[in-house]
Amino acid sequence: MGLKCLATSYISKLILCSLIIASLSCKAKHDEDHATKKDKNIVPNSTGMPLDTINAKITNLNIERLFWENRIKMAQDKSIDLALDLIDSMVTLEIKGVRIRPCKISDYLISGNLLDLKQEPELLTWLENPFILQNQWADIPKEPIKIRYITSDDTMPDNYFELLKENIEDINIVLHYNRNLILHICQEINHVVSDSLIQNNSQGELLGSGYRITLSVNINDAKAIYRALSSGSELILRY
Amino acid sequence: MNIFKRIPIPIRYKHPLSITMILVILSFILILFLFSTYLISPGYALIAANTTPNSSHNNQIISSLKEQILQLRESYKSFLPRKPYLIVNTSDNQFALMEKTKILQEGKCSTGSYILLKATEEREWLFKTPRGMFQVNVKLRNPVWYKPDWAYIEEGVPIPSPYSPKRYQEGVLGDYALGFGKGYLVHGTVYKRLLGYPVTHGCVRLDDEDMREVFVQLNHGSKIFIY
Repeated sequence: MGLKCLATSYISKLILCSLIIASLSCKAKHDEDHATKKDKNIVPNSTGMPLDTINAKITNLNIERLFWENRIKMAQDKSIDLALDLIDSMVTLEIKGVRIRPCKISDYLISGNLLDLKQEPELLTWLENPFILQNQWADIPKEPIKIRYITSDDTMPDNYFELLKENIEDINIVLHYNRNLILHICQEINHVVSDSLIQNNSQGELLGSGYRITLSVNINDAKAIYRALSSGSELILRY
Repeated sequence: MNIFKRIPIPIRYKHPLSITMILVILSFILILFLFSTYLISPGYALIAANTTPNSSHNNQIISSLKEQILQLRESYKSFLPRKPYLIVNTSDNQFALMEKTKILQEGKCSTGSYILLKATEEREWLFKTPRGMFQVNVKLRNPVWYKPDWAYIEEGVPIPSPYSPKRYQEGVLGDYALGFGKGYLVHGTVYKRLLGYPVTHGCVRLDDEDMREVFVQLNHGSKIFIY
């Protein structure tokens, strides 16, 4: 009887120890696995996609949905507007839903705060409606007006055709939209020029803290965009 | 036999099964405790949330969004004019005759010169082509130009009376013209070497061949987009 009791006691202790060791090893393995997953930001799901990828995909689809909704809203009015699609690297002048000038973006830069905004829930509210152009600056005149006074000896100059050409080598344009969106259009992205151009404007401080996008497009496209837009024209964004 | 005698607490083994049971229960409690931390850990929660109900929910959201985007794209297409239309680029002095998204004809044109003509302090004209969306409101064959005051002022000749027959000039607008409001026309030209330059008084000039095609394709109500 005593031997049996002792044996039972030892067996019980043995089972207990085995179970404890098994549990601890199981938990350690789980913690290790979890740490690995967390580090790599990979959380699997039934589709086999990481969770971050799914969230990013939903965010991007929502941005695209708003882009098309706003494009339709924008097509309701008669003004010349801008559709900025950084995913497709296109900036397009549009009137009434007709793409009148698609321009290829050769390079672009997005400010950090605009990238951070993509992780925030306010992003969709921010993109809910088209942006409205409030102020604009450029180093070319909006309208290349040449004054001609009528005099008695008014004759056509010899270099008439040369005078008709605009000799512009580089254009910098700053378009300030509502909700603190700033679009800087240039031919070659240069941080120094971009910063100084924005800071030198009368509302430099305000613009400095805005959500900024710098685009590099060819000179003819930049000129056409600047001259086509008027105050109050709209912009839609996909990024 | 002495070994058994040395054990002083035989009474403790009166209920050996109870003690075993207690140990087993304790071990299960411990196991449950350890597994409970495993079960409620954030990582597990995320996995659980995404493997069963939420993953299908996410898939539904994704499918729904894709469907909405497709519908929006289709709606957007409906804004394209059903009839052929004209796009005039005043920045580069180019035009494109379009049907939906297909280019029917394209080439050089001449648009407003942006010359501000100052005759006197009170009389001045800015020769610019208006921008925006317009519609063809008149179609003319062999259009006749009613020569306005500024044309005489530019030439430095006396301005005739508004009803003078001298005001009416044939041939200078080409064979065809399309009016799009406020006296502005898209017309042919005799000044072919100036095509591609901003030289007009606000009208859009096309090469006669191009103008013929534009005249054939566009009708009353056809859209003209100028930027």
